[in-house]
Amino acid sequence: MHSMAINRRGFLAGAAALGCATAAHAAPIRTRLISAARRPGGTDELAIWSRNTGIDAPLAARGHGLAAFGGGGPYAIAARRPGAFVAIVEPSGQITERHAPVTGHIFAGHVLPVSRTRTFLATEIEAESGNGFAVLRRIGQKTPLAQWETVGLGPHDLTVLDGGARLVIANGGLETAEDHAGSMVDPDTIESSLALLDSHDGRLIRKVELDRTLRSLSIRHMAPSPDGRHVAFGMQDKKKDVWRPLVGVMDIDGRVELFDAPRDDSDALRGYVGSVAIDTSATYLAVTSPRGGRIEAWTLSDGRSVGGLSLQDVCGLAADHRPGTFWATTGLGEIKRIEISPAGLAIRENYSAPLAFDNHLVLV
Amino acid sequence: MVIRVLFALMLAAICAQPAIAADTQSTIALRVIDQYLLPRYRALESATASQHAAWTAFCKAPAREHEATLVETFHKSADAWQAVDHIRTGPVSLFLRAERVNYWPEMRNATAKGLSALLTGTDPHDLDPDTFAQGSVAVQGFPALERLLYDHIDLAAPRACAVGEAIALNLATVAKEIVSNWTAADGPRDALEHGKTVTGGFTDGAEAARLLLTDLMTSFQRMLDIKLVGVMGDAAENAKPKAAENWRSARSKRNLQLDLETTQAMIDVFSEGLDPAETAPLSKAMTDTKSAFDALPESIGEAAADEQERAALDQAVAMLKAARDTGRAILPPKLNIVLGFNALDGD
Repeated sequence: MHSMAINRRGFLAGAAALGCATAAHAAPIRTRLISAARRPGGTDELAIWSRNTGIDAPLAARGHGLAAFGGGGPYAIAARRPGAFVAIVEPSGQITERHAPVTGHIFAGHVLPVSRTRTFLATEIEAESGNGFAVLRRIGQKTPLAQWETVGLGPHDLTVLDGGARLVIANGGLETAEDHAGSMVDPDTIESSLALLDSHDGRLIRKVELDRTLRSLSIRHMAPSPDGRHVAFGMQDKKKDVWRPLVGVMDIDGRVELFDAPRDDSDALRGYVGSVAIDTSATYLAVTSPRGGRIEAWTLSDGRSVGGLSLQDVCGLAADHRPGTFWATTGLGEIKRIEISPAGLAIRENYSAPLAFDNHLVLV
Repeated sequence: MVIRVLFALMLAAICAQPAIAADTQSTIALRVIDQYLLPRYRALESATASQHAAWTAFCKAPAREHEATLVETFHKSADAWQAVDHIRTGPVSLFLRAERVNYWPEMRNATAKGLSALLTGTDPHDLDPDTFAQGSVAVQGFPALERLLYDHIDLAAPRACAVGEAIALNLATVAKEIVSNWTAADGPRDALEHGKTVTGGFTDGAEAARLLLTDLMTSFQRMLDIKLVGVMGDAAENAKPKAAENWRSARSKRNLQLDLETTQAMIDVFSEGLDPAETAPLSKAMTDTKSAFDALPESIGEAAADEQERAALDQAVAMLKAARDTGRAILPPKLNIVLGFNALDGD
């Protein structure tokens, strides 16, 4: 174990040299945050931030989606797509397991604990066909327990509704190769969808597709409402020739409502939503766009934009346990607590870490 | 596993970003657009217009001996595209233009399948410019044209010729649109120059400078991840020779050399206002990379599958990584431009 202490005085002096006039925030973060991150030297890790320590669990490659098992249990993190592993990480930072995808598959970037029985689901893509699978595994067991078709191409995020009874998969459609190829996407064949599956046996209950005029959109990330009756989703527009909605909500019966453009600038999200979250009171839906350097929010009940704020390279977003409150992380190492009210968004706490936080943030 | 001490990590520095002088960023962005980007887009416009003219002439009177002209104009146009292949800032990012010009790497055989369907198609209107432009991106650009020219297809056949002409026209049209969008009286270049609000991809000079510098760093990554490592695999027996760019037309090494050349040119324009002593390590790393690239075998794909020849590829990869890291360490801070991490690539 290697310990790296950063001298506080030295760091603050450095901050001052940058022209920092504001006093540092004195109180430590009261919440435990976990996120994939990259260290300045280029090492990828799962970063764990709590009241008084920061723990780095080094990963073999860039991590992406992650989640915590209940009861202070371990964390699961999926490698960035096309991923070669899902790692199980103890809260101490110790990596205890590394799961490989099913032969012929790649991990698609997201993972979801499904019960207290230490089982978890991960999205996988059959490399040859692009077909999606949700694969069920148990901690401590190498062989998958089950694999279910997501009934769509290029699945990405997954979540549960109705107290865990229904599984929702975001089939992103024909996957992009942007992360490693800089090309791609045929706007006529994206075929993005939301698939509702029975989470006991993987049976397809309903598949919701976008209207033909929205075929250039890829549904990528989701957040369930606290009551488990709705799921918010964020999309990316691969064409961007006209304005298209990037945020929507689907209820448990498959009815979809798409939200309007952000109030202040319809193009604030630059055709790209990175993370989605609903606050604990189910009043606000917030999304981030690293391309736009924006957080934008809407009231969940009526889809009305309440505004946004600019934050460079923001992507990680998670709801706090307090109503109207979110945490956001950036690629520049910033951690922000954000409060939303009918008047708009405001940053209430600031922290900074010598790390580049990657796409997603989870509070545990 | 590393445990850090509390203060280290929590650090709280609410420190605002160092104030970025918007005019400086605008100046940098305008310089890159005027001195680097637009000349290359104009060259692309001209090369693709010539290529389209060559196809039009050929299709009117197909003759074997004139196929050489098609090949020649293909290479000139592909050269011109390589100079801007890594740019995603500005008008090229709209309407899937970049993908329509160069849909590559090819996923799930989309180009092969799409082209085959086009060649056997009988729809008299599917090659109409508007219809064609709205269709699959996989058949609209250089990779499809390369297959037409190098896959032993009888170009004198009316349908094959018409497909080639449609692709050539599409390329010429996209290049023309990019230039005219950039330079329009109310376009992004004009708005940047006059401090007006810009619409379409970025809002001001600071964002434009950041996006353009991101494009520059992306160029390193494309060469590395896709054009070299993606072909090499982890060992000779796992090499993917046909993942080499433009292997049919034997351009794999040439493209890398052109990529490096255009990256150097972009660095030069970005660095214009900097003290050469500050950028000296980057110049050295780029020179070393150029030597390594010049020493590459002609076929990256064949070399990747050959134990002996892989050494040259390994050397190119090592030099390129060093140049990328040096560039990343020097340029953003010296130019006072903050590069994103999340904004770089999507998922």
